[in-house]
Amino acid sequence: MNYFTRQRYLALQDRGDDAMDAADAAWAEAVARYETYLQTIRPEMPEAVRELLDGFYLHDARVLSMGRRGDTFVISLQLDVPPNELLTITYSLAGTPEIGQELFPWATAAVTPDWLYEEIERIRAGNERQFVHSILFSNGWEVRLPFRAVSMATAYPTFPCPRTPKPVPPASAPRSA
Amino acid sequence: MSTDPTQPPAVGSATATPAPAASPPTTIHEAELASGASGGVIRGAEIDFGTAVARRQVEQDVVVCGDDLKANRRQAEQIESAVGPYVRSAPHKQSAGPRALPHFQQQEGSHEGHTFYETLNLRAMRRKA
Repeated sequence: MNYFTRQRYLALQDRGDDAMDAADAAWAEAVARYETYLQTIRPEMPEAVRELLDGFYLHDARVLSMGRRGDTFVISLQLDVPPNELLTITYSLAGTPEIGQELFPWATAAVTPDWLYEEIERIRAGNERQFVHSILFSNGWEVRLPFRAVSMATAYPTFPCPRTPKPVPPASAPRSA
Repeated sequence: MSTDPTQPPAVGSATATPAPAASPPTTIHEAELASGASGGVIRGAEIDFGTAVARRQVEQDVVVCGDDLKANRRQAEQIESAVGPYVRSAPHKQSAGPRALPHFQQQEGSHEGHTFYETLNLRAMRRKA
């Protein structure tokens, strides 16, 4: 990750107004720099990469599975945004995936992670157009996937079920409408 | 001329200064994620702190609204901390949508929901009548 780094995310966890203000300012600066970078590579993006970038809100998506067979890497997600669609992202790899498995201090290896942040990066490979999708997960894992093509498929979930609100205990019912 | 610093200035006194404007209060609301392209948060009925904590305990969303970012953030942190160990996330529009709000949520990823808070530029959406 070049912008939404684990260090910046860990800084967001600092407590107190001053520390939070500083972390927010650093985050906003990273957002601005990333958006500027994206504008420079958008013209080179194939439609599928633009769809990956613009078509889905991946933050807080539940990671259902992730794995590789040969030059294909597949990530299966359940999106956080209603109606909690299932999304399968299939990458045609252009290189070896890098998978950092350093956990955040509070995370445990057994817990299914959520998707936190991602970045798209253009890389040079002769005349071939290649990109890298870098992802930071809620357990601290970082995945860096060089790819030459990507495809997405969505489905309405049968399982895991769409999220339905659990009832709030009656004693805590809203006091006004 | 001397003044007693332990006493409030007399009405009409030349040394009287206007009282500082009170910070506008935060309000806490039921919340839900909007579907579609906004990434926004829809605010619902106003609730009190205890109800907000109860909603978060059953993995529903709440949002803290108001004009004072720090007050909103502190209130949101207090709600989420009453549920358990928490983390804070900041949005970026590419990942969460142009109207996504920063939020606290439980460290334990299986615990759903968020305590969102408004900033100066990012506001919760009101449900259309």
